[in-house]
This record gives sequence, structure tokens and C-alpha cells, in this order.
Amino acid sequence: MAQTILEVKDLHYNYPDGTQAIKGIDFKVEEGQMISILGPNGAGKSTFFLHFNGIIEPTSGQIIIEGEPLKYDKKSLLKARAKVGVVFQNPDDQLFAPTVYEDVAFGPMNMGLDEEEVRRRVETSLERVGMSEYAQKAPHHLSGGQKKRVAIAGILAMEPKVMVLDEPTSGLDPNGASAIMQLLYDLNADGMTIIVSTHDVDLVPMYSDNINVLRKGKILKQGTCREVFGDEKVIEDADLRLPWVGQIFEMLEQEDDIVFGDDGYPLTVADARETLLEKL
Amino acid sequence: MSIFEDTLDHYSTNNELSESNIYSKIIFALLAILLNLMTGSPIFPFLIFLLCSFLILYFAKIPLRFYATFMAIPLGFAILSGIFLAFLGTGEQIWTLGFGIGITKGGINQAMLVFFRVLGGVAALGFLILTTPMNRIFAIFHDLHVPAVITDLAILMYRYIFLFLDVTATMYNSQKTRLGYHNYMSWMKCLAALAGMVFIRTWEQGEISYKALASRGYNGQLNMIREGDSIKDVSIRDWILIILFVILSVFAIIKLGNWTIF
Repeated sequence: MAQTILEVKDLHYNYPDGTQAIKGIDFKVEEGQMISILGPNGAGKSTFFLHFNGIIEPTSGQIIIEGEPLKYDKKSLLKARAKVGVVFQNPDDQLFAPTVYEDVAFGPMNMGLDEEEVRRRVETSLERVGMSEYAQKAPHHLSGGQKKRVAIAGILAMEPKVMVLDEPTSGLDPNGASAIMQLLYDLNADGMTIIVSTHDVDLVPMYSDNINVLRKGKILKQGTCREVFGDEKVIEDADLRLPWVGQIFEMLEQEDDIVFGDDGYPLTVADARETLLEKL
Repeated sequence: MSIFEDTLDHYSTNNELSESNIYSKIIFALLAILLNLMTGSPIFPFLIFLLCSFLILYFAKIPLRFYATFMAIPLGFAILSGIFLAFLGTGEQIWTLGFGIGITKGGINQAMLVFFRVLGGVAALGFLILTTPMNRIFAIFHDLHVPAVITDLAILMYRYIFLFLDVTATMYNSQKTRLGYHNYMSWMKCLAALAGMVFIRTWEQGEISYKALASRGYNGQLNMIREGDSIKDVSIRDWILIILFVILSVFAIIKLGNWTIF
């Protein structure tokens, strides 16, 4: 059994004005997993994520990173942030340096690595996200997708155990969004543990088979794609919908009485093709 | 990215000399400014102006139109101060305005000297500014042992200027879309709202940027990697050209002496 790398125990968080943002979440991440957190706007995804590396201190509950409960002194926080990297939703919030190269080098420099190691990491991570040729550019001369890639490289260069991405596909064109998800999928295949929040229900089933549905500060359901999307009530409660591919099969079943097996609707184009080929 | 197409920042990062050693450029620009101030004749600053303009337009390939707009404002000031200086000279007046005020020969000479010195100085500074990306200049700050807090602030300000320029442009357009700025009162109200909103946005951005920096281990000081050229990398060719430039300049300054038009 894989090692538990990040654990959240009975997490509660109230905003300074008393509003409850997180209302008791238990959450467990094992090494090598790729987990999606699905939820509507305002479900508390970003707030939840900022607990993972101690940016937000919970009202009650515990964050456990590699078996060690997170403490909130300077040294422990620095250690936690090197292990759990958070990529922010808006890359403009994250990129600050005059050039891409310096920005990506920022994290490793803060970890106190020597210059040679920093340069090696910067170059490998820029290579990894396909932005090597932009190293000397200023962030404000890049497109949205390129900024996103640089933001990811900035976290990759810290070589964290877990990478947490808040809405990595938001604001990107369809090809850009798929390319980013493919990149994350590849990173995961190479052993990185990844947690992604999104509400792009069409993209999720292609890349992840471990879904948590978050709504109003609580996890409604946890399971595989078919389990989660098969649960109509959860999907409706969380203001989500079936992926378009699933909806075709739902309509065919409900309106035309054509049933394709009983383990839920296919959710990706590839699944649909297979199911259709079988039937025909 | 269209609003950034015609900015100084765009040209300073995208010209033929962006990549050349910053120390060559800084040493040349500083020497040119210094020599420019040591001369007593308006001819030498004019030569500096010609040389720098040639470098900017021919070598760096900055469009003439942009260079002209860049020079227009300092030039306007230079002309204004030139006119005043022409009236301030003492001695025999060659043209009298009345009330005892008039233009003198000495005044004209003084005005010419100041005008051409401004021209030469701005062109030399322009050579540095127009051909050097900002991030290279930050690297120089580090070499000159400027306190880290100043460099850090400059780096953050430089980055967020462009972000807020973008925010401001978007808000301005959205106000205009809803018929803002249609008369004087509306203009006043819209501008006030815009300024207020941008201020609040900077505040929010500050909070979230701090969180993002902290996520990457920020603890009060920006640890930046040392990037950029070293003074040791200035090529022999550059050194020879700079020395040649100084020798010729000194020779020209001595030859021209205090030669004036009148």
C-alpha cells in the first residue's frame, strides 16, 4: 500500500467575520495519486488548498504532512512549503520577477540551495513545461497559457512531493487547457502526487479517476468518475453536470430506451467510442 | 498584449542591442554624459546627440517615430529653458522686448549651450534606457550594493506597474462602454471611481501576492538568483571603442574650447 503523504483531519475554518468556510473535512492523499476536487464557485476550494502548506491556519483540525502534524512556526512552514507546492489560480498573482528565469529560480533560492543546483532545477523545470526559450522574457510579455506554464515551473523547480493546482485550466483556450492537463498527467506518471481543483467536468474524467466533490465547505462524495457522475443527487447538489459525452448516453437511455451496459455512462470520447463499437 | 506593443518596455527588450553587455552600455552612457557636461561649446553636445541617435536608430533599430516621441518631452523643456536663458544674459541687447528685457549675445550663447547639453545628455541616457531591459538594470543595482530593500521594491513595482496598467485599461474601457466620460462631470466622477477601484485592487493584489510568495518560501527578503553580465565580460572591442570615444571626445573638447556661434 502506498504511503500517505498528506492528511487532513476534521478541518474547520471560519473567516474573520465568523462565516464558516470549511466545515469539517477529512481528506487523505497517498503518494502517486492524481486527485481532482470538483466543486462550484465559492465551494471553498481555494481556501481549502491554502491550508495544505500553512498559508491559512485552520480554526480547528490538523494537517499532517508525511506523518508529521504541521506546526506554524517559521521553520516548519518553510519545510512544509518545500514539500507541498501550491500553484495559484491566476498566474499573475504568482509571477513577480522581471524575467521568467528569475521567477522560477525564486522558490529554490528560498530553499537555500546552491546556485548550480538552482540553475539545474530551473532549466529542467522550464524544459519540462516547454518554456525554455522564454527564459529571458518578462512575464507581462507572455500569453495566459504561457504564464500558467511558468507558474507551474516555479513550483516544479522546488521539487515538492505534492503539487496542488487551483483551477489550472481556468481562462485557457480548449487546446491550452488540454495541454496543461496532459502535462499534469505526465508529471503524475513520473511519480508526482497531484491535487487539482476544477469545475471542468468534461476534462476531469480524461485525466483523473479519484474525484472529491466539494460543496459549501464539505466533501459530499469521494470516488471514481463513474461512481461520482453516477450519483445524480450529488451532481445536482454540487451544481455540476454530467460531461457532454455522458449526457448523450443518458438521453439515449431515457428517451430512446437504448441501454449500454449497467456500470454507468461512458464519460470520455474514447470510452464512448469503445462502448458504441461494442454495441454496433 | 496590444497595449504593450508601443511602450518603452517593449522596445527596450526587443531591439538589436538588448543582449549586448550592459556594462559596455552603462560605461559609454555615463562617460558620454560626463564629457557632455565638461564642454564649453554647443558643438560637442550636438556631436554626442548625433552619435547616440545614430547608435539608437541604426544599431539598436529603434523606430524613428518612437525615438522622436521619446525625445519630444525633454526637448520641449530644453526649448522653454533656452528661451528664458536667452533673455537672462547681461550686456548689450541685440533685440529688446521692452521693460528693460531683451535678448543679449551672451544670453543666446548660454541658451544654445544649455539646449544642446540637454539634447546630448538625454540622447546618451536614452541610449541606455532604450537598449537595456529593466531586469538587467536590477542586476546592476545588486553589483553596486544598493540596499536590498530598494531593489526588492523596484522589482515588485516594475512587475505590478504592468499588471495595474492592464487593470486600469480594462476598467477604463468598461466605463466607456457604459457611456462614462461623456461630459465634464461624468469625466470627474468616472476618473475618481477608476482611481479608487485601482487603489482597492492594489490592496487586494498585495494580500494575494504575499500569499503566493509565501507559498514559495518568501520570508521578508526576495532571494533572487544573480542574472546578467559581469564587468569582466566586456569585450576588448568594446573597451577599445570606449577608449577611442574618450580620446576623440577630449581632443574635440580641447579643440572646440569655448567656441560659440556668436
